[in-house]
Amino acid sequence: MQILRNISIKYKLILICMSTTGVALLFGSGILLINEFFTFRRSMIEDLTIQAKIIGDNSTAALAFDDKKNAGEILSALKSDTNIEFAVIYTQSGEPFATFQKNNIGKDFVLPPSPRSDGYRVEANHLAISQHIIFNNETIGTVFIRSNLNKLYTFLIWYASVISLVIAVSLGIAFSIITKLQHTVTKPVLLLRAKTKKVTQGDFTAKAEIKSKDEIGQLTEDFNKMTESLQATTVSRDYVDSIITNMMDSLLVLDQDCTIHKVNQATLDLLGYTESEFLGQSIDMIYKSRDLFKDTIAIDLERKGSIVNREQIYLTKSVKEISVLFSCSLMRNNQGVTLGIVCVAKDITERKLIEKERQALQIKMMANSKLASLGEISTGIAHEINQPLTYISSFVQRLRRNLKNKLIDKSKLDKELDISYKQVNRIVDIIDHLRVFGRRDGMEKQQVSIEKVLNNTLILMGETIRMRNIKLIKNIEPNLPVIQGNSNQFEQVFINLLQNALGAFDNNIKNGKISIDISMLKDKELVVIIVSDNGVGIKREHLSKIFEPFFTTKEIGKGTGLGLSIVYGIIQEHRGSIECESTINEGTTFRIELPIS
Amino acid sequence: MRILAEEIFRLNNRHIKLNSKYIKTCLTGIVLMVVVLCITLYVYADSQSKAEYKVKSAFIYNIINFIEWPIDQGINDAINLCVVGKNHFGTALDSFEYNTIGDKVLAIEYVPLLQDIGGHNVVFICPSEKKRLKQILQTLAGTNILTIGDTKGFAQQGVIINFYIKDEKVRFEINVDAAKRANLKISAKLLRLAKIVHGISDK
Repeated sequence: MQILRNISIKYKLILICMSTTGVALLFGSGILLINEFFTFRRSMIEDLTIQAKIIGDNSTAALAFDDKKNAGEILSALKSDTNIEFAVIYTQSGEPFATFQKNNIGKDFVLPPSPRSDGYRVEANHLAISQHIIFNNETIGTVFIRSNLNKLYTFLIWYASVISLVIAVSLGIAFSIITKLQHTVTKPVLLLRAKTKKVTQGDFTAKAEIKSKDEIGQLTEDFNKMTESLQATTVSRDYVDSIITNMMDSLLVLDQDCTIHKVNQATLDLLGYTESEFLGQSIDMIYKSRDLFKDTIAIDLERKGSIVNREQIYLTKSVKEISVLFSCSLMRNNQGVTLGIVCVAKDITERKLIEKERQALQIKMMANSKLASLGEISTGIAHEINQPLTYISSFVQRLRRNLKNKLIDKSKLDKELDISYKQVNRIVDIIDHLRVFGRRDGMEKQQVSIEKVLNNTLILMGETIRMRNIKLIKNIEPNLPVIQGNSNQFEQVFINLLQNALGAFDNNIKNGKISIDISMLKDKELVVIIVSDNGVGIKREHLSKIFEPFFTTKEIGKGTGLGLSIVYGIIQEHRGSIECESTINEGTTFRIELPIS
Repeated sequence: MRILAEEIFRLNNRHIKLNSKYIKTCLTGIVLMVVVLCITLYVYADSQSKAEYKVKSAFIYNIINFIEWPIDQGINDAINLCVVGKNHFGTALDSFEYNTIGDKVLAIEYVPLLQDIGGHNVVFICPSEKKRLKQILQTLAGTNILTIGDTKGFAQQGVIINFYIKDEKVRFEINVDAAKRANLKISAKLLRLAKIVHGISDK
């Protein structure tokens, strides 16, 4: 069995088939041989019995008439049968009456005593038959014939030889058949094995050809399926690996104890470490202070499961700070057990820089725009200032005249002084506001009341609107919430929108009207500002371009083309939205939505 | 039957041997002692004769066993044996009476003179009938009767079976022509033992 286990399947198959065939043939042949032995022996016995009967029958007369010579002649007929060694006819009393014996039988041969009954006896080399001789229903003697078994043995030897030959030929045929047919079993197995070897070496494209529909065919099919799925997994793993390797953003995979388990090339490039310097180290190495990650991010992560787009500072090997947009999430397996943390970070240093530049630019633009606005509204402002100055001037002149005429009514004077003082304060307010507004300030955000901003705007703009004989309708919802933002920027928005509205009216317009609606959408937590006019409107083809910088329909020198684009930028900065609807000769409406928080 | 066979051997092998010895003695004795030996001869010849007829009796019985009569002969229950002439068998033959031959029994009848064929199947013609043989055979001609004799020359004259002594043993000769005429079938086994005689026709 051990030998069977170790030899090739091909020889195993041949061996099994041959041994099975051999054993079956031997067994069958053995049975046949035994059967033939007994059949032949029986036929020998029968033949000899018949011969004995014939002899007996023929010798009845010889016995009856005591003719020994005749009996001897009858017996001598047996000489033709070479196997018969001797034959005796015994009388009734058991004495030999006639005998026949072969020449080669020894001289010291002693006749056996007369057998008592009919029958046969088989010895090692002899077959003996005794047969009573019946005459007229009486036993008058006995025939005894002894034959050797040479015939039987010769036959058996011949038969065994034939059978051996048949077995040999059959085995030969069986061998040639199995040698040919074993391919049908072994070939697919060997083929499958070769393919398996290929797969082991990493060639997943190896596919075994399915030729049969038996178990081996099914096995081959299963193997192919397995290879396919293996290929799919491996390829997808390779795919994922290549994604990780080639992704532009930094990727760090941390163990549960925050040691770095895997990094991608982008991380190495970003931070200037080699992979071996990273792996196994604590995440702290890329943070400014120890335990920063564990104290802030890990705790948040534990609570939320993931952190999205949080700005962080990574430290490079050369201790340079790099701003990154950081996202991370817990990595769990199918059972939900936390395996580690996946951190993705995007280098936003450049973006930050650009943002800074953009902000600076915007501030500059806004300043310019403000100056332009101030230039444009200076007439109005001048008017605004001129009004109290006129009052104060006339009051001062009246006072001087009254002082000269000593006609001073003290109570009247007090009253007029109060008014004058108020007028002065008004001028101071205007100038103060102008100073504040004209200042080049940053983008600091604070709590802003939109209504207040609007009123401040109207300090500067109100007179300008009035001078143009345009009606201003304010419709402001009471108790508006404050908005997070920059009041100066919002004021700029109003100034620009109002200026834009004023530009929509001809100089001799009648029934010119600008309305400002400020309301709140409670469910959306939005403040909605609607500024509309009934001016000339904006051409449809211009509508899409109005927020573009330097787009203007005014004559050269009259407008910068930056007004609405600055509005757009400010609203964007405050995460709001602005829309414009306009109909020619009917008017234009700007709708601004600003989030409250 | 067993007894009979034994008897045959005994008689044939011993007694006849003895007897023939005595014959020789007698022949010498005739010359030497006429009177005394005459008495002895008489006594022993008688006993020799007795033993010889015992054998012949058995032979007759055995022979009948090897003979086949034509079917239409009408042998029903018995085979009738008729001894014609002076009986030498004494009672030797009687011991076979009513013995069976196949499915039939042997019946024996003794007649001094053959008058007619009667219901006989077998006729033993004693030596005393030598002179009347021709007449007897004529009587039996055309029948299926087996004729047996023990006289020299009988077979040649037309008796079917005739006993003779050879080498001190009782032997028999068969006239096959006569048997053919009587339409009897004689077993080959019997023929093999017999001396075959082609006898003359009695016609």
